[in-house]
Amino acid sequence: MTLKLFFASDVHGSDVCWRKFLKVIDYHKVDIAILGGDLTGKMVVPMVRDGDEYSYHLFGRDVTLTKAHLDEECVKIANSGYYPYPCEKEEYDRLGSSEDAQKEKFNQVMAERMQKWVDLASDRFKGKSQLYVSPGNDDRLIVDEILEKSDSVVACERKLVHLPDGYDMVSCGWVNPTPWDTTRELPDEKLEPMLEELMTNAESYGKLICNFHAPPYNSGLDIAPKLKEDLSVRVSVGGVELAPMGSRAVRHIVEKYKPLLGLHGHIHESAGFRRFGRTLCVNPGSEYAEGVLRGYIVFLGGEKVQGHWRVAS
Amino acid sequence: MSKTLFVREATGLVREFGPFMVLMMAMNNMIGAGIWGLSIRMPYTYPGSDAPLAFIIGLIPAFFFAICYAWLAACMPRAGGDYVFISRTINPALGYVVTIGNFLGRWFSIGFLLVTDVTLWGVALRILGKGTGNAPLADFGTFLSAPPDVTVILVGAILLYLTIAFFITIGGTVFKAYTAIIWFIPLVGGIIAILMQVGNPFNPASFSKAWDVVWGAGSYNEIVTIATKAGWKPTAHNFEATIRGIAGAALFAYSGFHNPAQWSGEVKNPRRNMLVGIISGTLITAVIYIGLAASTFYAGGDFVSQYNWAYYKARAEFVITPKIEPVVPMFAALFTGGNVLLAFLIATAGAFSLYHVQPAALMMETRRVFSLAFDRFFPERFANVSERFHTPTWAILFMVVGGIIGIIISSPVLGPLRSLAGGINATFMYLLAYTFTGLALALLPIVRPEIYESIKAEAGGLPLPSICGVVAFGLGLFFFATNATIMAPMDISISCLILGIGLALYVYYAYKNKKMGIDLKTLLSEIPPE
Repeated sequence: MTLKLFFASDVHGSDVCWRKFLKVIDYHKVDIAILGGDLTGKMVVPMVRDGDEYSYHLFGRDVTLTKAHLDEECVKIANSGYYPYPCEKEEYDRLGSSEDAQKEKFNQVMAERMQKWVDLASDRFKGKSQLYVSPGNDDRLIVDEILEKSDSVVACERKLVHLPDGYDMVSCGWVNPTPWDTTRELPDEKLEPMLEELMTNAESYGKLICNFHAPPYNSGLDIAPKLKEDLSVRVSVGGVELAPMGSRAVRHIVEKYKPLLGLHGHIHESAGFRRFGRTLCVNPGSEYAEGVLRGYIVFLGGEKVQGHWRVAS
Repeated sequence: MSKTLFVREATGLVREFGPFMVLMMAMNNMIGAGIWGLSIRMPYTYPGSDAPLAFIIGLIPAFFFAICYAWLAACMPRAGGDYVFISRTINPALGYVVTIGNFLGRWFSIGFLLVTDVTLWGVALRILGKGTGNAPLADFGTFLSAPPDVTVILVGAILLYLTIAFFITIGGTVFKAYTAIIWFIPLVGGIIAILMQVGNPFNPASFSKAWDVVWGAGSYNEIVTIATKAGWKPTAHNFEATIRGIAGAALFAYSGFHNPAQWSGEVKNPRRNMLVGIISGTLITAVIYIGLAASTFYAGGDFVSQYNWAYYKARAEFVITPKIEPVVPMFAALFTGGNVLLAFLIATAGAFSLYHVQPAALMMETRRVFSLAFDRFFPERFANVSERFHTPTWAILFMVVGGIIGIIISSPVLGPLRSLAGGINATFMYLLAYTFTGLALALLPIVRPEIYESIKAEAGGLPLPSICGVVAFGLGLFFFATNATIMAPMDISISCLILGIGLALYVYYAYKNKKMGIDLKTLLSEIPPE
């Protein structure tokens, strides 16, 4: 028997990417679909009302539109992963002057969209265990609550879940430290015990999938631009200087336990696959802002990976 | 007043490149052998062509091609270049075939550039040696630029190539200075060359004196005599020859604007900065090209054509003059009024130009190979990334070996066999990519409207990118066809054979993937969202 799965990651709030994700089982004729971490968006786009018009700034341009076009614009912004927020000027000023107010607003819009997503999934997947979703380092804890309560997706964070055909999957959205001090970060020496604890839940590793948001260190799936202190990229001959940014803890775990498959994300520009002995690790990368759902289709048969293909939908 | 965006703590929000870095990357990959070598040979390779006019008119298609890459890279910053643009928008088989053609075309281009570069370094060292009274240095420079044994050129080109591979592999912050130097010197040297030549309109008496100082007493007369004996006659300019010159030389010179597309993921506000950077880089390059071509022929007059004729028809008869294949610094360095530093700067400008395009070009082609391997349409080995160097070493090695093959093919060492082996025409392949990239942009608003959204612009109610894409497609087809008419039948056959092999490879891998159970129709097509 072959388990056919689809894996994507890092949709960062993109509405259209979520809606495509809901179709992958039918479209790619797979058995299950797994969505890795970084589910939520990075920006709130205030659309400030002035009379009958709204104005906002995005993609380097200022846009003014009438109320009649507001919904359409909100859809476009949401498809790029951002949170459109039509508001009055007073509200815009209030948010602009208070970091706490911004944080609260982010929690609100993230929760609303996450809830909308699981409600959308409910129409087709209620009661079924076909969609597996786990958060990543950029996702606030409020996301976990919504996923846990959902009857249409299987919430996977820091659990072992049973997949069809005797496969198991453990998931962890925590990563090694980044320059941005995100929600789920731990030094590798603390991340490794967390992963070890997850691994001890598995009865065997021959049919185990590790859905770890951080890619293994120096795997080729974790190569990203080197940054200076001011977060600008370092440049040299041929262009940008690159360096491995993945997790040593994840690498140790993969090399120690030799699971069947590693599913990773986190580094959008480092799509690809890498074998560590019998373990195939993949990172589909991400083009969420363009509304493209990048993924990997993997066929599993027994304790082997029978095939894998990168897709961009 | 612009509204603020509220941004939270989240991975990946870096301060990326601005338009100046994009501009530098584009220029670094453009200014090379096309202007420093091919332009000055046009009187012989395309008799009757007007070189400055070729570069002026050639800017038009180059501009539209550049716009296509800038826009597509802006709206698909992490896509991975024209392989994905074409595959995603038109057809994956087409994207694949064009990509195979391009990285094989790059092998030949690398070879041609580096073989010419050895000559340029020789010219530079000779000029420095002569100017400083250092006879051994001057002799070494002459030896390098016109060696009695053509193996010297082959070895020199391979050594230059290996230094590039060395620098890329090591990387590091030390080489920021290296990058700046290899960009700055050609720019400054080119500008000085233009200014020096513009101030010296051709006059046989003064020109011959300046020429003989550098290339040997009596050299000028030797060239004129040999050229005349070999049948040289003044040729009036004709437009048809100029069009051929655009297809064969100018568009090769302008190729390279697409290089920043591979880094668009690191560009801040790509929608604006990719356009600004690539277009301004192309326009500045055009100014230098037009200036260099015009000033060289203005200062060199008919002698430029006579030198070409004498070299290509009867260089065996050279006694005084070193047998150096025509390059711009040979002429441009004459007018520095004895200032050795300026002369050397002009000469090294040419040498650095041909050298500095290689690292970025090598990385761009490596990414193409890498991409094909990731899509399981090329051996899996080429998707490996080195743990030590964090680079796709197998893909780099593939390109390095290919580049060495290109050097061998481009060098004189193969003798008559060169015509058989040298058939992969780089311009043929590049124009294929530009043509279909134009088509990809034209179709984008229709086939991928959500991707088009971030670059949306209209003119007269029509998508402006589509209009530019259509123009680019038309110009690309025209010059592709024109380039084919000036290629030898053997070269066309070999280039087409390469494309055929590309298609065969695609069919093989597609069939292999299909047998493993994947539905190819869905592999690169778009899911209709729920």
